[in-house]
Amino acid sequence: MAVRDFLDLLATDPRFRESVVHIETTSRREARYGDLSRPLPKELQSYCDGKGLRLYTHQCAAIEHLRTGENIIITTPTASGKTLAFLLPVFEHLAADPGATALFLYPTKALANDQVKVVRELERESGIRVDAAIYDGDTPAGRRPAIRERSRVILSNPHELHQVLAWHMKWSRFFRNLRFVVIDEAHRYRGVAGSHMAMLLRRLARIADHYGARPQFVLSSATLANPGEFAARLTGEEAIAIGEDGSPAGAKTFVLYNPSTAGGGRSAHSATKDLLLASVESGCRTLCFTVSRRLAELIAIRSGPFPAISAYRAGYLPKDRRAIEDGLKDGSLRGVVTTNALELGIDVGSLDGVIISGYPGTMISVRQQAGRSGRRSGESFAVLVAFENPLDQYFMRHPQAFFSRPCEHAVVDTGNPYILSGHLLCAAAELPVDPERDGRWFGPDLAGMLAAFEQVHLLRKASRGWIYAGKGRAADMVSLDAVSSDTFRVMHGARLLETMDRGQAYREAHPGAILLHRGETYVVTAMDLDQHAIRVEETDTDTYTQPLSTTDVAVVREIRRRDIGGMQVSFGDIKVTQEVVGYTVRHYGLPPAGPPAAPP
Amino acid sequence: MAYPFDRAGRLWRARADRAGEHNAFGGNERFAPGRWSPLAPFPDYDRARRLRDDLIAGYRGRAFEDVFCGREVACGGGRCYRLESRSAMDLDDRDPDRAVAAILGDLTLVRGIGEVTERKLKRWGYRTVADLVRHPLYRREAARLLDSVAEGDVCNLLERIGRRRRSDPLLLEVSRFHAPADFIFLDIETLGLFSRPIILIGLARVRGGSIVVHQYLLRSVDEEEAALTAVLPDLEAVGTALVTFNGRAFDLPYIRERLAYYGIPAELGMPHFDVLHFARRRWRGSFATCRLGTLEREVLGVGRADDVPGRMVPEFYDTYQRTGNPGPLVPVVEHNRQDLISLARLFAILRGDGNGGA
Repeated sequence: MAVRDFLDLLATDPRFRESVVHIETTSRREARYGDLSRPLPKELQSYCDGKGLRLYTHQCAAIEHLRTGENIIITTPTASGKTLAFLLPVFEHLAADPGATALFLYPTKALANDQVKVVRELERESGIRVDAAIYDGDTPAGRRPAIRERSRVILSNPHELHQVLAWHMKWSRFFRNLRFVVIDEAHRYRGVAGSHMAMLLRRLARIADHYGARPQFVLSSATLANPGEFAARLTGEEAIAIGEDGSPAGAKTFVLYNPSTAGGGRSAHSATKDLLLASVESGCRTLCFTVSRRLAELIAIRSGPFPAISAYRAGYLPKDRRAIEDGLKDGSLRGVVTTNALELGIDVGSLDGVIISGYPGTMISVRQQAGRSGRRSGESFAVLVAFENPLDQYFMRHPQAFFSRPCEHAVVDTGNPYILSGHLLCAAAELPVDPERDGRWFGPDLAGMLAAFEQVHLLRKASRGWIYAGKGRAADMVSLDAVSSDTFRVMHGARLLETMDRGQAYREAHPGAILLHRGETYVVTAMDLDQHAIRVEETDTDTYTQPLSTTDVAVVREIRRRDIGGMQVSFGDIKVTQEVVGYTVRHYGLPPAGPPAAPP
Repeated sequence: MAYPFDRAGRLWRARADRAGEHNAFGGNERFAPGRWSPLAPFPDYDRARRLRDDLIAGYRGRAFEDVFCGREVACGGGRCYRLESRSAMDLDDRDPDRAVAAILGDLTLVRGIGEVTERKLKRWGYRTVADLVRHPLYRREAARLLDSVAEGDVCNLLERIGRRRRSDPLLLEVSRFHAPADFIFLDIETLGLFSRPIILIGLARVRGGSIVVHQYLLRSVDEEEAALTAVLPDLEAVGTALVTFNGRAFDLPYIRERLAYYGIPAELGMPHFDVLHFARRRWRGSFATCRLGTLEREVLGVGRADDVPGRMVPEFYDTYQRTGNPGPLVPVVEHNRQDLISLARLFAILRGDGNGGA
């Protein structure tokens, strides 16, 4: 068996043996099934029976809580049947109430494309008509009116919702009957993304409220330290946390692998490549996670002779990504090197192993990534390849600290004045803002924000509330990706290769930079800051470039200061300036050569 | 806590201004009608900016009411300001007989009859829809159409004919069920493409040999609700027929959207004649474009001086909003008024009215 072969190879082959610092095996876990207080409607029951499905304890809990009108957050692991846990109760409600509608939000279009198949299958098999449809940037204009008027389950993403809310009058049927808002992969909405999502969901709830609806929120998330608090911050409503996993799992071996312990000090990247090749050659379908887009490309290139290995990352065009997903699913690809783009629940079939090249920064990510292997009951493995940095090395020396480490708290700040005020502008363009009525969505600072916007002539007080008075479309000014956002297009001749944001463009696509894209190397010939375009030419080189940057931190305002163990610790606003000052040209496998060159 | 919001406010202001400089209507173009297309070359930009600056200099210190002679109107939604102007213009009187003859002569309006069948039927002596009530196969559908015609149910007839094509000349014949005073010519100016306020609603009617233009010009966007409420009774009145240029895609949905924004219920199912479609059919190929400005120049021989390009209207209004100087609104009002008059004249020409609407 492939997984065994690979693990034996690790234990015996002198190339690998020295670097294995710890092996942790979790044994097989049996399924725990639950019972419902009242059976599912027979259409759904026969769907489950037809697939030989029996409900696990956590699925029953989700169904019962949603039946009583509560909001829930499900945090059981990948492949534990989370999707079914909310699909069944949503369909149960939609079957009983023929007008009711539900909105499913996914972080990416790709994931919605993947999931719509599951929803449609349930619709077909159960005969409960919901006309499930995707409504996103790829939906042809001709199909949109019918979806708005007819579909009861709509799959979309936050970016689309952000645009759609201003058109609520065309969606009045859907919003009036909105009973569920499902937020899949909710853990993705942490930090800035979380602040935007939180405000977007308040705008959605406000529109629903305008039409007299109050939807239940259903969150599906990776394991978190604070699911209940997180759900409440994100949606503004209390939610029941469901985390006790009832699904069975096969045995899993987690290997901590430290390349720097072996003589000669092999780099983590080489070690990753060797492990990936060994795993694929042992016959394991393998996913390799890297910490950056560039590393994903580099490792895929260096696994070069093996044709069934590909890179996969954000920035690839959708059809390229879909081809890779399909290749992994049908087995024509045996290994894929990816950034966290594949952390999402896109179904790539059952995987034998996962190689995590470098601690990804959070235990949430470690568990998500490791969870991609062993989706079925068989044995599987995960390997964490340590980098040279102190945190990775600490884990190598203290494996127990690693395995007992809890998942992080997911933080959502709903008070960021820029994000909050941006969404207030959008909200005012959707419906007049009434300070009394809308305080519950926009918090205690609402009056201050309204006054500030009046000063700059973007809002104006009218009889029914404050109305948007700007000449640009509010939703176009506010981007959900960041506090400020710009996208650059990388063009090879007339062909769009990929897109990247401004910060990344400065770091990785300055003139002279070597850009890796699907294993091909390109050199950047021009960067047009006005047009947001980057021009590249194909090049044949075994060099790569590394940006040199300086980061400057200046204190803008100190808010609090405290003495902790004899050290002054301050809390306040800071301004972080990152400047790319130059770059070095490096040769694969050789130390840096030549002086750094300066980009403009 | 005002401090961070003032900074945030300035940030958004700066972003709104940038949007105006480089890409006046950037972003979401899915719903953009042609006249706003950002891809069209825009050499007028600098000229328009100069015009705006000249106006600001020329009207410095002048009050709104002093520049625009109108009167304040009070209605359910508050107060707003209305300008009135009048010029000579006439439309043919109602002529239901002519409309009925045109409709009944077209057998293909009966469901199930195509052009081939029509030729056959005509050979067999079924010359009008009225004759078809004797036809065993088509008598039911023909009777239904005859009922609509007898009742003068313009909406139903427009729906039937418009289903075939929006530019069908027969639609213009249907307009002859209406007396000249029934038509409301409508054109709005806005702060952009949807989800932003309307800043001017222009309505015109032809009555007793002249066209009377009413323009509800917002002294501030907070008067939008009042302006909408003020025009609603006219739009909703029984017998009203709407005439617009691209209003099917722009003006009417925009008004619907703004009414929904304020939560004002409205019944806007009146008959609607969108002149853009008829103009395209008639003049496509004759001129470079079928925009209102082009047709006005080529067909009506009207030239405009100091016109503000449609897509600069938001910029001009925003300048007024920020400075309080009414100067930039002067060409906006004139632009809208001229659009309405040209719209009415083109409508008359397309209908083939007696003296070409002159």
